[in-house]
Amino acid sequence: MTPERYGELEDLWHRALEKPAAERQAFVDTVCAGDEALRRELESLLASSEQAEGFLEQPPDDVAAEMFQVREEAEVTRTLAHYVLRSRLGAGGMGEIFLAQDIHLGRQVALKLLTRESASEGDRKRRLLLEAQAASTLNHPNVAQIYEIAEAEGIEFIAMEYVPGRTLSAHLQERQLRPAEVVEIVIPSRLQKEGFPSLRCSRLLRRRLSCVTKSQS
Amino acid sequence: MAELPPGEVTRLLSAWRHGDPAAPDLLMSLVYGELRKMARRHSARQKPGQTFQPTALIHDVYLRLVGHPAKSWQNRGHFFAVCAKAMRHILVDYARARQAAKRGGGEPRLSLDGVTVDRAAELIALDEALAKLKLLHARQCRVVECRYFAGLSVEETAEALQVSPETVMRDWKMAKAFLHRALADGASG
Repeated sequence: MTPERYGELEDLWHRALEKPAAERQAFVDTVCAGDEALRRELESLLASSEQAEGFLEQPPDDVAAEMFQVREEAEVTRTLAHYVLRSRLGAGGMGEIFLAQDIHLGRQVALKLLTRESASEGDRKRRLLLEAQAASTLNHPNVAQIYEIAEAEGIEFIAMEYVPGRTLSAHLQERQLRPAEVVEIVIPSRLQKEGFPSLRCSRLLRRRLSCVTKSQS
Repeated sequence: MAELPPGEVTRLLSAWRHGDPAAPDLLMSLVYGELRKMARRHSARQKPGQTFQPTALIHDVYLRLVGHPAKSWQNRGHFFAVCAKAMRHILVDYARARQAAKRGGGEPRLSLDGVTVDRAAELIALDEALAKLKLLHARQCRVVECRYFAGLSVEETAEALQVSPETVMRDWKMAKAFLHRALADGASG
């Protein structure tokens, strides 16, 4: 079909629909006399006008909604064991930290990965495990809970509680904090009064504090 | 996407009105990126079960990129037409990706309600029929982009395409008949 032919069809189609149903066929017969192709086109388009009444009246919102949901999920597609890595939260001295979804339990976790390169350094690996072990002995609202320490695809990782919020280094980048303020963030006075659960834990905190002090100077 | 220089979209819209042939494509790529970005924010804010509304999204994108709605209705109309086209491409690209993943035996996605596979096929067929319609009657094709893909009302579509609401209604009605027939023929043939 050509645009000209379609234009002709458009005009006849609208005129036919303006006629009462009883007169429509006679109208088609008259205007299409001697042009069978035109008649076929016009008749089939008239027939589909009734069927098309509710057609396309609902925008594809469901597809759009799903698409953006999927896009969101697809931004990071890597999986490790039963975790789907969603987005990178940051990197520390020992490896990268990802926001991940635990497929088994359906909960969000923070996944700390010991990268292949750093895993070759025995000391770092030992410290990662030490940290996880220390933290796992604690059960306190101020300390992220450790879910598991495991290895998959040659990568050691710790799955721990995901706590949304800003990091200490983000606070520090914004403004210089007094040492007392840093201590308050790392060990709130509430916790200080309660006392530390173990020697291991206090070692861990001391190490954390020394990192903070170094990064600040 | 990098932040847009302020007024860039307004400048492009006015360049388009003055016949700059490069303006529509530039606008299209800006709008495409922005729509996707805003859509992600929208869906993040949305509660489960709430319907996703491209129209609300487009209004937000307009406010963000251009400014106050009453500033220039001519700009707004042009902008909506571009958005409608962008929405069509975004949705159809997605549908094609879904189909390809299905054919390629890609992993089935978690947490999908199963709507999409058939709807994806429908959207692709519709897109192909629209491409044919465009060659025969470009304005009818654009009416469908506005009404269906962007969810614009008859009045908003009239504003976007700078025609009367009556013309929009006539085009919409015939385009639906044409597309319905094309899809029915495709399904039976």
